[in-house]
Amino acid sequence: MDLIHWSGNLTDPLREFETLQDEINRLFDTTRWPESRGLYDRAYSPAVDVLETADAYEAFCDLPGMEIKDIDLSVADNVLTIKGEKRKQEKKPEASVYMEELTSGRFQRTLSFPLAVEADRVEAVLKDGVLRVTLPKKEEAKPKQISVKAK
Amino acid sequence: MAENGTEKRPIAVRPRGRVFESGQGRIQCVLEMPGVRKEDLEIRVENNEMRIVGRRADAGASGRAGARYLLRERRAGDFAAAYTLDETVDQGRIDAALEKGILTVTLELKEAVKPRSIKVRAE
Repeated sequence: MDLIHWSGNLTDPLREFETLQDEINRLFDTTRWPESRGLYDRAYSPAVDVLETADAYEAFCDLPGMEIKDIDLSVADNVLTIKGEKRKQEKKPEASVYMEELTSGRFQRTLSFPLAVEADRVEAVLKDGVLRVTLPKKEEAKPKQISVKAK
Repeated sequence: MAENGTEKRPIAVRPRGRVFESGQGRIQCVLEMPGVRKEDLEIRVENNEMRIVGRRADAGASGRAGARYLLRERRAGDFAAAYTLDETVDQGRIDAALEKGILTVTLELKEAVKPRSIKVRAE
């Protein structure tokens, strides 16, 4: 028996093109940006670096133009949440814009660290548009070296 | 990183920004340059071209004993942008301000090309 690909209608070879056209139409119907932003209201996601040293974690977050009052930091166990809102710069209606690449709106980043951190000793500094958060590791969470004695 | 032992600086990134004409015959370039200090910024105008370079010190695993990256999303390179200025811009009156990682360059248009409104007198 010959194996023939089932096309639904063997008498009409152009049928395949119709389904192709349907699929292309569907592609254009879908919106490019999802309408829901998920669980949180996020307009954009700022870039974050996380560094680990022996005693602490350091998080760096690019937040150009933002002020301390626009940023909300919280720490629970080993999770740091950076939330905030980047305000739109006031724009005069008569101004003509040549180029627009800046984004604004709410953002949220949640970072979980491998070890628990001392929530009371977390320090945050905002300088030159970069937020730097230092989170000391909890003493009891630090890995300990156990020396093996030979008998 | 490089084979010959000299460490190359990463390729410069064009900062994201916004260029617009603000009402009074003025063009403003607002550029996001997080991590750039005033002393790391260089703006020069030459042959009708304005070049902006902002050097960014690395956040710093390099040179710190025992430090390693768990997450690295920020671009390490310097910021660089170049704009061609046409003859309507008064090159002697370019002003720049850097605040909170945002550079604002203000270009004044020449008096001759500034829009002006002419009042009509009633006779």
